[in-house]
Amino acid sequence: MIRCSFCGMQYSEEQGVSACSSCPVASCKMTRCPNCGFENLPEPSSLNFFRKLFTPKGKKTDQ
Amino acid sequence: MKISSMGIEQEYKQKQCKGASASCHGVGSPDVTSERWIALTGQPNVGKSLLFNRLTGSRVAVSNYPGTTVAVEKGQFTLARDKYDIWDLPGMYSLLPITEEERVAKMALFRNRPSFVLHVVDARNLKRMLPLAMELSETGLKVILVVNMMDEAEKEGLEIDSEQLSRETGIPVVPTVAVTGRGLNGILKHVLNYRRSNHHRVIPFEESVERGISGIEELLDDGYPLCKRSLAQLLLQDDKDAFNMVAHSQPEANGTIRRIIDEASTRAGESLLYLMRLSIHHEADRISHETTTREENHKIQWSEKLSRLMTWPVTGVPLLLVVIYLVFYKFVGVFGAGTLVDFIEGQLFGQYINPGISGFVRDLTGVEAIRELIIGNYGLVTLGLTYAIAIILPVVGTFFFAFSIIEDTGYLPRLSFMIDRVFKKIGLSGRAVIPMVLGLGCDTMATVTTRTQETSRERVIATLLLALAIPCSAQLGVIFALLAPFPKALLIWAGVIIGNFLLVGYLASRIIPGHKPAFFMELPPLRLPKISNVLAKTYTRIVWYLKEVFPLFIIASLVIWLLQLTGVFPFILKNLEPLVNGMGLPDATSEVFFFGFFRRDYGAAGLYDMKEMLSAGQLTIAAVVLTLFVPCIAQLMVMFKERGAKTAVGIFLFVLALAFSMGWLLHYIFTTFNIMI
Repeated sequence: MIRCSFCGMQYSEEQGVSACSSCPVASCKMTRCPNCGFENLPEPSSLNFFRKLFTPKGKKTDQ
Repeated sequence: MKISSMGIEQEYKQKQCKGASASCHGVGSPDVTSERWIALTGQPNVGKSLLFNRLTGSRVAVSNYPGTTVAVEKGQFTLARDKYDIWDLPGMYSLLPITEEERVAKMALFRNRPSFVLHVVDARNLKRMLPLAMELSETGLKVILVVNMMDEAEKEGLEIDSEQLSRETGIPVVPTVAVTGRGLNGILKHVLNYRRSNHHRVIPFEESVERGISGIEELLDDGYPLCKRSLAQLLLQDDKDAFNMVAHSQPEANGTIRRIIDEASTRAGESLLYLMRLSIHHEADRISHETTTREENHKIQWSEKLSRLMTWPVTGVPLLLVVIYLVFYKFVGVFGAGTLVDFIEGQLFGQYINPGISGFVRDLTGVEAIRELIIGNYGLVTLGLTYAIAIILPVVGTFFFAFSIIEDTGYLPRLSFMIDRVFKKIGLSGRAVIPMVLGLGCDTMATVTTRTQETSRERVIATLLLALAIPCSAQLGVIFALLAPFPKALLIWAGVIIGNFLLVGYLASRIIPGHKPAFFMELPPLRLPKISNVLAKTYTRIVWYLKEVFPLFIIASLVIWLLQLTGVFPFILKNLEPLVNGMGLPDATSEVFFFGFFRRDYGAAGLYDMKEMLSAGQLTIAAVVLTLFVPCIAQLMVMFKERGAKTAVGIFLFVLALAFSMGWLLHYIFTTFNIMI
């Protein structure tokens, strides 16, 4: 689930992607909040690597 | 209370359910296995699932809601020897669904009609959570309001009067802490002995709406899965599901209902949806205020005060100017586009990377065309790579970082709220802040966002203003960096751009026919930004830039190289020269405008590259024209797709003419009045 940075609504990636079908920059992966239209980026998988790297052992990450 | 293999077994004696709604709920449904079933509802992240696990133990089954792909968790528990089914419904924000998940939650309530609804809210955000609780209460379902996360609320110095809250909402209220199980017994007691103190309306609306509700209520038959008043409210808010219900049960009433809605709308003189949401939120605000007390807590009071300052125009506008000054001017412009670019472009690329690659390519091949492709004036390395990495990346990188901080604080929705009044003068509403802010990132994608504007008039005006006067972050950062040594130039540039934005918007709102926009927005809490969030968002955006935008720079270099090779590029530049000369700019600046049509940031990088060649006055003119200049190719394509060919071509020609007219006008004023910058 993605939390909109603007209005706080939570939505699934599929719902956000469906709002972007008319954009020619088709592969940008941005998702648009279905409530307010604000664009949010799904986090890249490589971010987890950094999260793990900087999270002390034994402590869970946000993911 | 003890936990058995069947879940939680309660030793309460079952009592006769009293005080329940007489007509508004059914018994069970074909989809559930027992006659008693409970729906768990609430917004996401309120502890709903934790409560579900507490009630069911580990006996959970996940299946899609019939006819949809939305998963619903189902479990069971035993209470006073009776088996209860319980469904953890998807998170929902209101009875007017936007997402499929919300629609499923609503359908489950109305089609399957639970015996009880455990509506979970976050005690810390009662004001934001109450509207849905009040709407649910009005449906006539047996709702129990579970005020969860009481421990967190208490830590923040909040005290909630549950009895008073129950009187105000008309439904039983149970304070809980799902993590520890506190309050669980209270919920089960209410399930066994449900009583509601008030089954009358709890949300008062203004007269025009009330008349509409009464008119529709009189038309509706019995037998709907929700109370007539609640259904009438949904119809007045133009809820498709409500209309479907009526179309199915009383198709003959549809026309009269539409007429009543039109009359109510005319009487109100405003969007009924807007008026009703406003009334619901005012009532939620009042109830929250009367049932919640807060201990003296300086930190929280400070954030509330700051929130008010941000939304009050007298203080909000200076605050906005401070944000622009610190974020765009000092951080993105002076630090990002100045210090960082000087180092990366001047030192790293200028002294090491470009000379190194140039030497390597010269040694590698003697074919001139290949050399030109890689290290020529418009080469992949000397132009594409240098522009993308050495000039634009530091600018957008600093912008992404600053923007992530702003985003994480909750300032943007407050900006929408504050700017709503000004935007209404130019035919827009606070909702248009979203595409305008997003335009600072990429105007192309912001143009797609204009479809979220309420009326087609708003959509056209927002598209026009995005194409005309909203520079992307790279453009803005480069312009700030170029004009930073000349404060007068910066003021002239800002004055011309803001003036054009307001004047064109005002005239467009007068010329383009349509309804006045209405805007309602729920403000999320103001908070201190979390560094982990900020870094994650910045990293995510930089990865996006490298993956999606960087290749476009390389493609643009390739295209320009091809045009150069075929002689088309010099031909285009030759034809642009009279236009730029007319604005007092040298021939070489025609390149900048041509680049700008490929990508706005590409043009900005081109202008940065020739800063030594231009005087302060010429820089000012070039910056103004480049900002107002026609949208890039991708944005133009979106304009065609979103607004149609006629509107897109109209906007393109208007913006082109206005941008060059402004350049010529500035040049005329500078030379006629001998203005030196």
